[in-house]
Amino acid sequence: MWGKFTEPNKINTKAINAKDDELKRNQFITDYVPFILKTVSDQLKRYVETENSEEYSVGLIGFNEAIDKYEPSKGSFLSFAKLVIQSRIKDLLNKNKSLENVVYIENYDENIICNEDIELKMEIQDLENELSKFNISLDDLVINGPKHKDTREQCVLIGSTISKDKEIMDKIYEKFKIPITRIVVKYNQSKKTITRNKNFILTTSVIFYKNYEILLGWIKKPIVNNRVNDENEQNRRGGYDG
Amino acid sequence: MKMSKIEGVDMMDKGKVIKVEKHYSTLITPTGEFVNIKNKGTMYIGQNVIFTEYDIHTNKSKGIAFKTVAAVLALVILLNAYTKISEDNLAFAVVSLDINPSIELKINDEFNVLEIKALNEDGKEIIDKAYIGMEVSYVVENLVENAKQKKYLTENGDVLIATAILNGQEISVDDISDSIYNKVFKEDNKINVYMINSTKEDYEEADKKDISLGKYKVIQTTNADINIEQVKNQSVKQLKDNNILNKKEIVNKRVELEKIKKDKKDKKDKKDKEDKEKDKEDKSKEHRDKIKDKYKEVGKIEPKEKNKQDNKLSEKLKADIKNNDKNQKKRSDIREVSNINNKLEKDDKEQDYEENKKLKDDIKEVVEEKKEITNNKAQKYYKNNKTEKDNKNSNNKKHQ
Repeated sequence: MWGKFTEPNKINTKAINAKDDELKRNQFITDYVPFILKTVSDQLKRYVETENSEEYSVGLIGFNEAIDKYEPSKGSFLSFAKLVIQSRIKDLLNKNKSLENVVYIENYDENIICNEDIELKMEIQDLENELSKFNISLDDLVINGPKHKDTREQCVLIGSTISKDKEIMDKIYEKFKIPITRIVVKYNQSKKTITRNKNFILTTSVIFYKNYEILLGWIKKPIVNNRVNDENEQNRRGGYDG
Repeated sequence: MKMSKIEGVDMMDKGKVIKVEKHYSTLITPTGEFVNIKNKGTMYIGQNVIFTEYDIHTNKSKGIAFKTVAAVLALVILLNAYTKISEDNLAFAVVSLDINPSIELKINDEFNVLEIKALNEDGKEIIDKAYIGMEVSYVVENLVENAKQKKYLTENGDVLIATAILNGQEISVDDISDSIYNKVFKEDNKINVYMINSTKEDYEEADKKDISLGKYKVIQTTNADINIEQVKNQSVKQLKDNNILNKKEIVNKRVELEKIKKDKKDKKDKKDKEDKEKDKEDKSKEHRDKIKDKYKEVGKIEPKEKNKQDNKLSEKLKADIKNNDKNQKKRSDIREVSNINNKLEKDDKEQDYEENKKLKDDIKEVVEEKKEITNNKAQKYYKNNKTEKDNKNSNNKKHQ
């Protein structure tokens, strides 16, 4: 709360410094991208979908304009920038009003576009059905899921290894519980991480076991990144060895 | 994806919508995290979303929520009491704005807004806390813009602005109202602006009755018995229609002055126009006389009289145009034919649609085949991953 009373002066001076310095301006804008996104989506009353969308770039332009026009007499910079961005978005919406009835070629044949959505919906329904056997809901994953990135990656790795182990998977589907001690003994994992994140590990193992393609794509990403890093490390090591 | 601790908004991340509930939707982020966010607009499964920390939906238990709310309320009340005392000391003047939304602005001696307050329900829709700290004229400009967009203020609309000085006497009321008028309303002739100068005592009375300074002044000068509650929610236009606002005392002198100026200007313009027209007529008369004289000298017919003869010819032309109407009937026939053609084309399109369906079925089959292939790939990939890791471990052991 007190930040609001003390910080603005810093921001105001930052904005004034950024006026003439190209480098500082770029840094300033990239620092405040989340702020820009928030004001844009608040004004639109919906979420911005991708970073190449028109609204997003209009927001960036508005912020840039705010830096150009800002003077200390106009109050705090953030509220001034907010006003400028809001009015730019309003202009854009008014401009697009005439195009409301126009359908883009990409969206013309909706059935083909929605193909992935339908598959995703099916996958999620399947997953929810599967998870209801274990008494897990998606909200449980939100609340009790691992918050830290590294633990999440580890949990995903454990899930993937379990899903290939037929013995453990059979046990899981027999008692609808995760056999913690067995996994601890067999794969040398710490008991703490598994007991704390058993719901998350169970869902990942189910996703791997049932092979939900789209969800896998989203869950596997950190592992793939990790693998690339490992390869780089191995290459480096190889270099030293040679 | 991005973590930076800055005032304003700290965090932002991407995600794909998995599940849509009534008030929130569940996302999966590229790092494999599950997050709930508030619904904004229409949400659908598979939607890509960029969200910030403010969009995250938290479902805390009610007991804790109640306690925190109570604590925050107590703090806010304390802070408000503190700030109110300090602001009243600092507030230099009060500006009230009535369209139908009634708004009260308190400003300091540099004309910057210290406090913004909506005096009725409509007022709440057009104000924004962001205006605090900006110059009055800029804020009024924005408020009028907002009122226009929400259709409170239309063409030939009425705006009532009243100002009163609370502390200090270095600057007069006129300075404030002038700065607002010059910046906001001078170029816009379609809006009727009423400006009232008032005093501190009036403001205190108005504050007690909880209506805007402008409306209070209007009631005061009419002397009639008017229900305050009624006036509170009436727009300035309605006041005007009910003959409450028409008293001459209220209308600002400056507006009258402007009218006098305008009248003067209009008169000047009229005079100029008349003079010019006179000049023109005189010149054209002279010119005509000269031409007539010339024709008389030569002995030919004047072109004006020739025109009269041409009029007869134009009647013939009209008859030709009537014949053209018959041609139009032919055109309508052609249109009917083209309509039939269009229908035929539509039928063709429907056939195409059926063919498309067949194609889609084919595509589905292909997609399923792809699924199988990718499944196999994923299994192979994880086997490889494992073997690589094992190799790495063995390598490490060798090094040791």
